[in-house]
Amino acid sequence: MADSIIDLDELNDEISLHLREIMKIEQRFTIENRSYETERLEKIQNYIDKAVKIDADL
Amino acid sequence: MQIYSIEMKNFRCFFGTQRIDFSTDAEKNITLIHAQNGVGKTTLLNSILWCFYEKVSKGFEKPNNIINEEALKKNKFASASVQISFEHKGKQYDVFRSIRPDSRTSDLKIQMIEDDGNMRPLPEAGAKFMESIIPYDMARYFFFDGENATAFGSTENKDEVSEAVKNILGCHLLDRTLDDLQKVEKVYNRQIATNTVNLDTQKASNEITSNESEILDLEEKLVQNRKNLQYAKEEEQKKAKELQSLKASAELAKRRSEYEYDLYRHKRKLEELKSSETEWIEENGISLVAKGISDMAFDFLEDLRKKGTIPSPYNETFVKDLLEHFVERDGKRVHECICGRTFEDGDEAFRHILSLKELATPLELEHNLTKVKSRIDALKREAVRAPQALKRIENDILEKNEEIKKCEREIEEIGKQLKDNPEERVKQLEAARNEWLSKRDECVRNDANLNNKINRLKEDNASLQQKIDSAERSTLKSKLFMKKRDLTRLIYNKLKDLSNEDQKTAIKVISHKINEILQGIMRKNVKVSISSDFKIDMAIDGTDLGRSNGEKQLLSLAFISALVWFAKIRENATSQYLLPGTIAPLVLDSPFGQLDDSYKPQTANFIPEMASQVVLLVSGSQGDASVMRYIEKHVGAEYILVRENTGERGSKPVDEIKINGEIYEQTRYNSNFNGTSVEEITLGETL
Repeated sequence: MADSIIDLDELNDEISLHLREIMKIEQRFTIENRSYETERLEKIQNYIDKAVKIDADL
Repeated sequence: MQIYSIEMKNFRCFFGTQRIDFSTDAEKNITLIHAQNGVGKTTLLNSILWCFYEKVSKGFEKPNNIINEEALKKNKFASASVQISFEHKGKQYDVFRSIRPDSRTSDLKIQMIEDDGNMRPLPEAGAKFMESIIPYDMARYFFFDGENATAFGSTENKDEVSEAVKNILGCHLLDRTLDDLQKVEKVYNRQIATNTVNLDTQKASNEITSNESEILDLEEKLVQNRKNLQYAKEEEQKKAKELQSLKASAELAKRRSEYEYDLYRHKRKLEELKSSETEWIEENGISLVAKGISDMAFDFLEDLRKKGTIPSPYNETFVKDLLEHFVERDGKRVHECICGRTFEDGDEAFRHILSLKELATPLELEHNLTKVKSRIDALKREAVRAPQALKRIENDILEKNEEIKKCEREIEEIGKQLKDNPEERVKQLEAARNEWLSKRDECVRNDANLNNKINRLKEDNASLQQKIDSAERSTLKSKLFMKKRDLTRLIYNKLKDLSNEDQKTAIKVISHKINEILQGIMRKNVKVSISSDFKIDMAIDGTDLGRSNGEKQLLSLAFISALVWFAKIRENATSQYLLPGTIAPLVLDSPFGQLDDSYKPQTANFIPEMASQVVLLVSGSQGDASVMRYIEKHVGAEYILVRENTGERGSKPVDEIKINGEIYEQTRYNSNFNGTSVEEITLGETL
């Protein structure tokens, strides 16, 4: 049954790679039992900023 | 997870310590608990939720009144606690939560039982630990309040069903991420709006081109005008020279030429004087404006000087040197004054010199004070000298103005004489000269106008270019934010798609399981389907003509059972954004309450299969013979919750229940307390 639930690790398209990184950020907050929204949003934004910059540099 | 036992102490209606040992037998997996309504079935279920999560189910009245009132009456310091022993993935744990009457929050202790039987506390575990075993969102479906059971079975059930499917999938993290991504998208949208400039850059650019072409035209005109000016000047000069060569006008023309030269000189000088006046005000204005303040500052410093405060009678370096100068006297290290007298640390002389240190002025401060005083002196001198110098300049300006007027008057007079000269040629030359002078002046005015226009257009162009540059920079920024916004949206859509696909899969699997369960229970041909918006449809014999309460409860039970089964098969799921499932006991409160009699036996038959460990809470009516017959062979432990009363029975009817051929009291009188107690039922040999 576990196979019928989609596993992000198996998805290799560019957006899935980004999604995986954002989920890592979210998971880190969950593991550390923190839920500060401002900090979470800031970290997601930082990641997106970086992703777009890398894309522009290429 | 498998629960071994629960021990409740003064928890709500349970007075004193009450214990239940749950059946852990795989074949006899049901722990059956009988209780009349209002005696403590729902409280028992909530004691598990409270112990694990410090939460209670919806509708549990007065959720903050945890401590038994009877216990508090007897002892105002009485505390309440719930202790649960359980096994999870081969390890045994003991969770103990307690609350004191003076505390709003409870204490939680979690211990792990080592292989050698010793208890090892897990001090860091806390609430997170229970969440890792069964997240609360999932636990709600394992420790299920059956009195609300029809919620999933009603036709207006999609919100509850959607929440249940998402909770059992462990969508909490996913939902938060979707929410966060939407918020980030909004941030980018705001930044795009801030950087969008309402400037038509093409229009502005066209305006610059048009201005540039106008500037070129004007510059050509300027060149032409300057040629005209030169020509007018030359012609005027010719006429002036000719007037100087004619006998009838020579003297007047020469004199006028001299006046004109003087006028030119005086005007130059007047310009110079006006510049000097401006420069002087820039340079010396401050000494006049600050005169009052500098006088006050001067008086203040003078006052301090007279009082002897500044300069200080003692120099800081001098006092410091005195304190740090040591000599040897009779084998002792002592301070020595410049007068040769010695003193020691702490004696009267030492303390006196030390007090001088506080009065002494630091060298830097003394230096700065000297500088301030000298600047104030300079300002005061300037303030005296300044008005005289300005007066001189103003007198010179007045003189020059007079001289200019005089020259102008003379030139005008000579002009009149030449105009009225009897010699015709002189008249003609003077008229022609005046005409060229007018033309010259007109050219000078044109020159100034043209220059002004050109400068204004150049300024306009510089400002337009600045706006275009800024708009282009903003457009670039805006484009960058759009890229970021679009990427955020793509990620959001991807996650939403994945989530929808997962939920679709879950719906498919869960509805398949519900059908399997119901077909085993109902004799009718039943077909359950869950729509993509989570509405459960149940067609019996091909039609969905509404459901009886019994059918609603049956559908709810089947749904819960399917959820529990779904959590079990997902126990080892490794999804990055969904929580894995779990195996846990299923606590069912009043599952037969509204079932039609015809469904009770089949439902009872099916209940042992719902989970590996089932705790069944039933009231007298639900635990009747038709139900018990089917489950009794699966019952591994059996209890009764007894209502204890301190009063006499009086005329109240006897409240008893027959279990396994034995009669048990459900309500007891002349007890030591009012509340609920737990009584174990001895299982018969046949069980």
